[in-house]
Amino acid sequence: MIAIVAAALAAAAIVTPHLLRLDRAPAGIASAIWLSALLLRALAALATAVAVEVFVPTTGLLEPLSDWCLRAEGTILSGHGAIDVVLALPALVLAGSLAIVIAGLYRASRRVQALLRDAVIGEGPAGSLVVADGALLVAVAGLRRPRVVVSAGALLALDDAELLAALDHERGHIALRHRYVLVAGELARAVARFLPGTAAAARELLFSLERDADRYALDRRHDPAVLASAICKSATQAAPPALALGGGVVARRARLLLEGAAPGAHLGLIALAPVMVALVIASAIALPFAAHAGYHESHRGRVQCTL
Amino acid sequence: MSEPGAIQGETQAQLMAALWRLGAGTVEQVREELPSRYQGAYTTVQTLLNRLTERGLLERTREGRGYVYRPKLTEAEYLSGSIRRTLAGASNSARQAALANIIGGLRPDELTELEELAREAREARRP
Repeated sequence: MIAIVAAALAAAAIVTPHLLRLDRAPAGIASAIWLSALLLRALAALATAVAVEVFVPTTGLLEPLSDWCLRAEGTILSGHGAIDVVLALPALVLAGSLAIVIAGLYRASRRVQALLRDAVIGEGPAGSLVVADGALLVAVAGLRRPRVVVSAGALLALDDAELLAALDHERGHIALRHRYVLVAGELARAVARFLPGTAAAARELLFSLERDADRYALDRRHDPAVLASAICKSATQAAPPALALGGGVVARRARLLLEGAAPGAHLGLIALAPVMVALVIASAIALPFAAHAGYHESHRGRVQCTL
Repeated sequence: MSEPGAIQGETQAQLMAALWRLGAGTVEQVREELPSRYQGAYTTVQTLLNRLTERGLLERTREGRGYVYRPKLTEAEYLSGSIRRTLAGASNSARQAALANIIGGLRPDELTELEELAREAREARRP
């Protein structure tokens, strides 16, 4: 009964952000909600894998397969062994997905370091690093010691106001430590990739972080139209680097900037963020205990093959 | 009417192209190398060259009474596509995590909407 209630609660928390209009919520609140939703999705995927491994045997559905033993050339194959492998498959698939994403992050990080090593020609405006490339790029590179990098293409294409707004936007990413949120979100997305809506949640998290950095830049007295202009110019210039922000994200950001200040967020919306965070923490603590208890329950009274 | 930023961007690109052809040059030499359409006043060219120096694209050394400007990157480097090449192969989300950026590739269906938004942004910036 407790498990059903917990599952219903988690499902409601996962679905709720998709039903709300978070575009106008404070960007920090929206980021917390979307990251929590992604983490809950990851925990739900893990719980599903655990449930398959732990609770399916207790249903008795696999009983007919568990009673055979095959002995050949000194090797013993049992129904139990085969069933264990089959039941572990969901967990193995999730672990594989996570490993692939971690390897991808590592490779991307190495490539960015190589870019900084090989293509940087010196210091740019406001402490940035200039990359010798005609593509239009203003970005933050690096996890441990992040720097703002700006391409020669951006330095030629953006006017002074646009460049300063773009640089402050990137400094916002660094100051607000968005890189850690991005990595956490990406790892959660890897584990939860088989749940419907996970890609949309990851896209909304990214959108919220960009909006948060936009707000950081606007707090430094940049004109929203200037930042919108930089975003539009960057996105519509020839030969942009293939770093897509996802469907509609660039246009949505520019539109929100041009539409002006957002109204104050509803108190219920603000309260949702800590509730989601609390749910993530409670679920992360409860899952190992539930898995442990379930494992002992499902293996009680098993008959082992003997020689 | 073109936006001021676009004019500045075009002129700066022409200045870089002139310096790539010359290798290095004074304000007057660069001005003479510019296409006639972009040959503004001496002080305008000087201001833009100084701006490109401050942005890290040029270096300048004093020679006699003036400065000689020299590009810090070659035209080949500018056209190399090193960013695209370096990041090719990594998944989109991995690149985003490794390189949080404000800009990105564009889906075809976004282009029309963005052009409209760019026009709105230009109008909003007009005094």
